Amino acid sequence: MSETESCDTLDVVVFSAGGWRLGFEARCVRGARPAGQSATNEQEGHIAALLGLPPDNSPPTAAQWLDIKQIAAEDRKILVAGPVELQALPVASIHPLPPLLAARTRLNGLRALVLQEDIDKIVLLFDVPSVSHST
Amino acid sequence: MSETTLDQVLSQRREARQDIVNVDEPAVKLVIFALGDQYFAFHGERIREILAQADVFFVPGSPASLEGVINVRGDIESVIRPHEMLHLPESTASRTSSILLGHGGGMSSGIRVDRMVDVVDLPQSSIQPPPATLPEHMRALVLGVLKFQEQPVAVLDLDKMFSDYARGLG
Repeated sequence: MSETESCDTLDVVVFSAGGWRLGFEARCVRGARPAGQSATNEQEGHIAALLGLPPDNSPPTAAQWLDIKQIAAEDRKILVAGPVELQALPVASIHPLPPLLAARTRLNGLRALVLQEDIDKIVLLFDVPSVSHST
Repeated sequence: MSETTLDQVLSQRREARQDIVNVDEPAVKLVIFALGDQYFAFHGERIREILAQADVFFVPGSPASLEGVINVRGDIESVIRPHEMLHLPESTASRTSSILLGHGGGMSSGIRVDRMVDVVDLPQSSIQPPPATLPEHMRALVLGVLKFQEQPVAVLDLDKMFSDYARGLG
């Protein structure tokens, strides 16, 4: 990837929870592996509980464990719903939170919103250290 | 041929202009809108744009009074519903509703209003201080009141609204 290209995009691991598309910076994610059929929304390490997302009663589809790189501690696993994708998001599509939303959101670690042209759904980007330290 | 010089002409013109006494009252631009059947206004310099239609993207984890975000030519703005803050019943978005893009208190946001009424220039003197009978929750938010089309209009302090909203009110 050229220097110009790397400045124009941000690598993000995009996944699902509660019907929403969410993302972490790819540099904070070591990998992903299938969680198996037994994964539940109530399971410890489930992304919705860590973020404070409204409860979702539908079973997680294509559940995967994300291995998160920790900054000053051991790695952590977070259970998310699929599809899990590595995307190079255009920097122009990544927006800081508007101030009133930043002040009032109840989601732990929400840092930015992604709005892409021709895609009518937003992606919520989270700060990995804030999320992985929340309980 | 006249011996008048350009310097003289310009000097005369300047003097003539100085003789004109401005008797106009200071005017204030107001953006007047309705929430339910009540009229409110913001000072015009606080409103950057009025959007009749915009796709609002809901963001989970937001309070009910935060409708979502909109994309305004590449910039993302929140859209708040001021009804709860003003102790007014909620209304659903309709064809007549608009979003005012406002800035105040160092912040900017869209504000959902039920109906745009008018954008007018009015004499400053038409705005009266808030009456003592104003409900408690309105006192901090209302800069003044006036009559427009026989309706009382409360002029709202957008700086205060945004800073109060950011602190969790409404």
